[in-house]
Amino acid sequence: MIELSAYNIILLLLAAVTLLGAVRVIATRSVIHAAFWLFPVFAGIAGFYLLLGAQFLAAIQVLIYIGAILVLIIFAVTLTRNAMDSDDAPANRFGVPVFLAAIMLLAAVIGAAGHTRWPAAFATIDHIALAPGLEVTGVPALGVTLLQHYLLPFEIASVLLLAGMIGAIVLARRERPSADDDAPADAATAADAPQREKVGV
Amino acid sequence: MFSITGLLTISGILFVAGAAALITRRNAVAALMGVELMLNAANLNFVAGWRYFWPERLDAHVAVLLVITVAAAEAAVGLAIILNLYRKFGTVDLEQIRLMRG
Amino acid sequence: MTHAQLTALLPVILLAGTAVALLLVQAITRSHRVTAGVTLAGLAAALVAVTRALPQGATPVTALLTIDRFALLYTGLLALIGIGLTLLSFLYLAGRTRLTGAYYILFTLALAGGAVLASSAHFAAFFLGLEMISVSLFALAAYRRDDPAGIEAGMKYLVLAGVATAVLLFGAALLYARYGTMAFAALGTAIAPGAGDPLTLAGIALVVAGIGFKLTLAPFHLWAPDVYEGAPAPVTGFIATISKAAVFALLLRLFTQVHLREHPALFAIFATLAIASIFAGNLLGLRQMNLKRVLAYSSVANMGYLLIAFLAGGPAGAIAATFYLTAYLPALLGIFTLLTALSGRERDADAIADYAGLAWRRPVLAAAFTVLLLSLAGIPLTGGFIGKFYVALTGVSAALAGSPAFWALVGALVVGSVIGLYYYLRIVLAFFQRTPAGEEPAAITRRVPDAAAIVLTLSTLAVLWLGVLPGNTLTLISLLVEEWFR
Repeated sequence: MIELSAYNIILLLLAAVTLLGAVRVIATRSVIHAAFWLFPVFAGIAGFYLLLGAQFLAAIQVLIYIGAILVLIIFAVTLTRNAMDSDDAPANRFGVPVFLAAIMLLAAVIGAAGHTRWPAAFATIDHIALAPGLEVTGVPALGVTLLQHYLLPFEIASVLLLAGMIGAIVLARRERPSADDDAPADAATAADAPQREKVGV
Repeated sequence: MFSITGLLTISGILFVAGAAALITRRNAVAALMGVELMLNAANLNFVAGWRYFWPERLDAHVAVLLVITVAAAEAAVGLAIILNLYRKFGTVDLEQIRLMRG
Repeated sequence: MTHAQLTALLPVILLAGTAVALLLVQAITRSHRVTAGVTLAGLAAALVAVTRALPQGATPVTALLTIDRFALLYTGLLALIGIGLTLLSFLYLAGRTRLTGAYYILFTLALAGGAVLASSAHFAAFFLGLEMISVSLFALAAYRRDDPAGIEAGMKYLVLAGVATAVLLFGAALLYARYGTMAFAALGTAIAPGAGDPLTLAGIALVVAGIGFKLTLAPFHLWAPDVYEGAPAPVTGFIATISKAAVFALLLRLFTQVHLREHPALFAIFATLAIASIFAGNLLGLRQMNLKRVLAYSSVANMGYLLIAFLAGGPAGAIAATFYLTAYLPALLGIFTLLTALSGRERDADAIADYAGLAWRRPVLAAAFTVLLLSLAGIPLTGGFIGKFYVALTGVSAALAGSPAFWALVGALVVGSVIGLYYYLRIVLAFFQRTPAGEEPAAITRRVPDAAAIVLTLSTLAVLWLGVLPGNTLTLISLLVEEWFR
């Protein structure tokens, strides 16, 4: 039975908000509403990070998930709708079987978690207390980990971001009315965008 | 007392909800939302695992940071593709976009 | 970072560096020739770096990457196929789009992702390598903006790759919560053999499902044929060869360290996937009229055959799987070369009907094409046969060593190959169709550019050489792979 300390009540509330958002994302008819329902999910997850003692991750979650990705998604929804019509059919023919499969999968995961012999004595937590020897879980320790043990993935991630950036720019470049043939050399990087505009005019 | 099972249940529900959104929703942007839900569920698992069992190591934090980075890159490219899709087909309904049998 | 580590990492650094160099080159010149030339030079340099790193043996570079001979072997293979695909891309892009710089940048970044994948020893590296390939390939698949099919393919690949990554990560997160590590070796020692811990099994099953999506194993092959069909021919070639080979290298490494044979449930999952893939690939391939779709289903079936060698495990399994891939990759490269060279500007020459009468009009091309297809089908005198033979051999010896389940797998291999033979031969038969003069399909009248002719010749010769004289290659592969099992 869950003891009703203030910490637990907040956790339970967060869980309720997060899950409500997740369910609405699937069930809402309108896609734009679904996009807005992502907000409580992302914010709820940030709340979990905060309560579990991962403050830096909470900040990043707010900055990137809510500040960048959610905004991008909402942009995409608004840019790909003819008007603010809400006739988006929510589900295809897989609705019912997927629901059943989802319930079964979920039961399996929860059952698995319940039957697992967990490793250490930290079976429960009831406050934000951090592990001994870890005064600040925040930036300094993380910075050391990231730039010592994980320097390589850090670098690889930057290369990956390069791929993402170039991919997005290539796909989002302006389409001229004339085909590629009679156009001057096309641009590949953001820095060239102004130059391209001039040519277009 | 809030046990790990509780947190894993929450992340499990999020994951399943994401998968369900991906499969049942016909809108391409909604499919992308499903993927984001699933990635968030995985992240919550990492943080829960760290907090309960392995608080002395910060591997999970790095993993979460990497996942968020990648999710951002993927979303950027993904939305660019979706905009192109809309420009070419006039819709982002995945069931109406069927040039190919499949 | 020590000198040895730098030497070991140099191929990856060179590949990523080529992408950056290409970015800078774009500031000076937009010439397609220069861009492709720099790409080729970068890949060749990476290949040289691979040979320089080979003598020094396994070198851990942080906990993330273990660059051993196996990793270098796969990196070298990827770079070689990459050189071929660069030439194809050059031919394909010329005349179709003026925007060529970004294509090669994304291409080399995807290749660098493949190299990371082949040498990763940690879930973080696995994930990053996978995403480097995926993010670049979404954009490459949708690269031709005038082609709606390509954009649809990009969208479908995006969804597939997104699911694969998310499923894989969820599994990795469960394993992390249970064992506190993401390094393969540490996980391998932590996961007790035969333990029926449900959470561990759930975690591994999800990781397997994620890998299944990337290898297009049945039942995770859903949209793969659409992606193959819609993407530009060289990009489809990339998806079919480099991304598959890199993921398979990772699969071999991961489950050599997390001992597969000691977990009956896992073994059962993989065996089911293998049999399902063999039958789904071969049966669904039967009725396709589109060459790219046939190749997609053929790749589903071929990944199923590969899984048999993988399941047999041990040095013999790893050697058989690696040899199979070594023979499989040039055959595919050759077919995609033909497809690219004969494609028109409006659409790729990907219908089987495009090749009607090829044998009468272009006998040499038809002969080469036939050899490549027969290698995929596993007919003697081609590399595909030797590969399949070794896979069957490892299966049979595993069955004799006391795992009767392998009889079913080997049976599926034999039945599947016979069914598969039919659809490969169907394509060959199309070459011999009589078409009235003046009404031939446009594809078979097109001139094959010199670069394509070279790639085609080399890959056909490689397939034949591996089929007639496989000894040297097998010795080489076993030398490189055995390091793991010492």
